[in-house]
Amino acid sequence: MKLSKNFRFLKANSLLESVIAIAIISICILVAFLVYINVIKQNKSVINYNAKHQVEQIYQQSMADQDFENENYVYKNCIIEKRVTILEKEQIIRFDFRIKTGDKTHIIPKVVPLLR
Amino acid sequence: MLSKFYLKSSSLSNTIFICVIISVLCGCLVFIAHYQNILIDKLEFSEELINTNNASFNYFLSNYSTLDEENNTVDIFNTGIMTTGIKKKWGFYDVLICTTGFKTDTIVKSALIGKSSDLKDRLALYVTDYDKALKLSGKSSIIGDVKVPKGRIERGYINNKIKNSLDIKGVSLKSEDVLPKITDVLDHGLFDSKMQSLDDFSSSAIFNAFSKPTLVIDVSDNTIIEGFELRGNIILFSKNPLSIEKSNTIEDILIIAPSVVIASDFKGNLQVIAKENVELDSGVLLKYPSSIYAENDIDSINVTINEQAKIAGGVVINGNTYNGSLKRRLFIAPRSEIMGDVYCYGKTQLEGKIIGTVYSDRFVLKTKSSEYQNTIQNCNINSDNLPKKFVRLPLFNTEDSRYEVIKEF
Repeated sequence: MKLSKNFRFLKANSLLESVIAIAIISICILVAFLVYINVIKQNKSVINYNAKHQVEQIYQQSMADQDFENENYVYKNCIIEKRVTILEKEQIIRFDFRIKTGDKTHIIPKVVPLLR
Repeated sequence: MLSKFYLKSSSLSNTIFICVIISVLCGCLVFIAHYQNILIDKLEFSEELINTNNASFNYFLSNYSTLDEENNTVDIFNTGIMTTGIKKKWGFYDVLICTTGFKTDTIVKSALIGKSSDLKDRLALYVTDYDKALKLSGKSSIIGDVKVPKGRIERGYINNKIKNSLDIKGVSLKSEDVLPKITDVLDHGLFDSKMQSLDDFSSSAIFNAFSKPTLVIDVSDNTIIEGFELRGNIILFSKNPLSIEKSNTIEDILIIAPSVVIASDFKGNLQVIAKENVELDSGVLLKYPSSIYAENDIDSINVTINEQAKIAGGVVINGNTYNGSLKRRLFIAPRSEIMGDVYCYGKTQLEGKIIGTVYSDRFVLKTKSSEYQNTIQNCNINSDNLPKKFVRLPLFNTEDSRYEVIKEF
């Protein structure tokens, strides 16, 4: 009887407090999620690094074979377009490697001396 | 009595407290990811800077002959990243210094470069025509085209030995009555620089990058150089004879002294500019690109490559007068080896191995009993074995030559 009397004074959360708490947690989660998405979006994918590696291989191979023709290389996750421009006046050969991964395009240019 | 059972729920303050803790943790993670991205961006930019620097270097290399000494600037990819090219002479070769900078980031690439020409005009031997035929004796071989007096090589019999084993492969052509003139290959700009003494350095290891002004060290008071580590853009200058001991570690430097002796078993990479004597003791290995240059019209010059000494690069003995040429002498001992060009406007005693070309005004063979003029014994000259990528000394002006990188610093 004494105990039951005590329970009468045990106050529960008010509805208002609970609503405010849930609202704060929701806002925190939303903000954190947005920031997280933004940060993740900036991350460079492995595909991108792989494509860069492929460009280096193509470039080295082109130099070894003296292959200065335009060519496209299609890989599983990316397309690499090799464009070669011979600049006689400047005595150089310019390579432009265009990497297409999904909706992103990235160009890596390179220059080598023109061999006479 | 009843008040001690009153339990406050305080859910709002608890929530805020927990939210703050979780936010701090999440914030930390986000910050880590954010800074990682910044780092990756910075690395990628460095990569782009290096790529621009390499491309600009190649551009300057292609247009090297038209470059000024300084003030060469290019924006190779039109990205606003400027690259500056500086060229300077370094012994027989040139140094191209290419600096690419953007805000606080700077990339510098320096390389030793030289003129490379096609293989087609590679001679094995050139001897000036003084109406005295070249005689070959002993166990000798010459692989490659030759230009010799009267366009023929005769057999020589030294000390009445009848047996000769000669191997001559290549076309024999008639030489001119003068040795081909070499271009002014040396311009070290020594006296533009302030000289320092070895005592000015607290350490025995001295390194000077090619992007910095040349360090000229006056070692006139030290006749023997030992226990030093010298690398890069350094000129060792002496007014007195100089001896370089085996205990030194030397790379890329120039040595200017009247006489230079490289002690036995020394291994390194250097260019020697002398006026009187140069001697490579036995077992010396001067790695590519090393060279010896000696020029004098008044006093005699003696350059000696002793047994089992090797040099990759070249040896040049030069002068302007005929009378001076009679006092200039090059001795290439048996079992010694020179890879590259040998040019001697004087007398050459050749008994070693040459992978490359020999230009000599005349040959001499001195034995215990006598001296034979225009005679070679037990030599081995092979111009075909020179590696395709070997950049030779820029002795002659050739129109079809192009500049190539010999060594990157």
